[in-house]
Amino acid sequence: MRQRKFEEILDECVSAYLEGRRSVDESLSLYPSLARRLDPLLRAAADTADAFQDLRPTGRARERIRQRILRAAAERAAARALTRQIHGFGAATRRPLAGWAILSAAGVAVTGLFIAAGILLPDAMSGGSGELF
Amino acid sequence: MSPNSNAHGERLIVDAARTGDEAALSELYSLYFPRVYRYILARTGNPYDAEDLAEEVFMKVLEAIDRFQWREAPFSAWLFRIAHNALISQRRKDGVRGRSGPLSDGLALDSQSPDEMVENRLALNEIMEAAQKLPEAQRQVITLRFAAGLSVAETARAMNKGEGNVKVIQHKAIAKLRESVRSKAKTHEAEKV
Repeated sequence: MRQRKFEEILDECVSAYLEGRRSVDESLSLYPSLARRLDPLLRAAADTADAFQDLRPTGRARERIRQRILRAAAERAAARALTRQIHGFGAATRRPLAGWAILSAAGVAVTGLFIAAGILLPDAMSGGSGELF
Repeated sequence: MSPNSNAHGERLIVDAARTGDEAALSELYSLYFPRVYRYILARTGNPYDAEDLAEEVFMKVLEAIDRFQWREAPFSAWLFRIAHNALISQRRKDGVRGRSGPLSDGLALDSQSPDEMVENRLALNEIMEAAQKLPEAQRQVITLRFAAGLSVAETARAMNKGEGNVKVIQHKAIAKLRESVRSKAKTHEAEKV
């Protein structure tokens, strides 16, 4: 439990330092009973944070990569717009085509019925007398 | 403005970037590129690799930003998970030879004088060398917290761990870093004598 509490306090002091809210010394004065234990750790943490803050890309690299990213984004946007157009065209043409397909099928069915009726009932179709023998 | 300090502003930027808004993407890049670069450089030790990998990370972000969900993780945690995966896959490609080591000359250090620059670089090399010796989880916590500038909550989400666990790992890592740098300094002093 005590160990856990120390980690919480250490983190609170580290966070305060990283966010620029408190210096190491200010944190130590807030926790005098833990100062001896906190001191070396907070100074190591501050040294590490300060050293890492010095790592930064050159301005030229940053701009070069920014341009590449933005170009790639523009290409993706163009591709997406094209895909949308194609899909839009598909949706616009799909419905009329389906209508034509239904009409054609109905036409074929009706024609088929007439032909079938013509074979089975030739007189009815031709309007003849209907004598077979 | 730190990305942590203005979550609402960041949300607006991320949402605009998701719709393909170029200005928002550029803003997101400005906010995060230095942090991603710093995180990767702190892990690899090579500025050229860090540039390439950071670019790769942003290309991946561009591909995946449509699928990003606010409810799953903060944007920063999501982004640094991508950065971590890119590092892992780079390490696999590099194989056992690895590429981490002392920083090369391609590094831009904000120093006032050449003396200061040399001093800073030595300190940085020492810390990075010590960080390389840490176990993976400790290294990740140290670089996410101190190089990428993530909060404990964001680090926990990026690593899929609890916040309490991250604090424990952080404590151990700082103690080990300190020990490592101190023993190296002792060795230097002994060599001088």
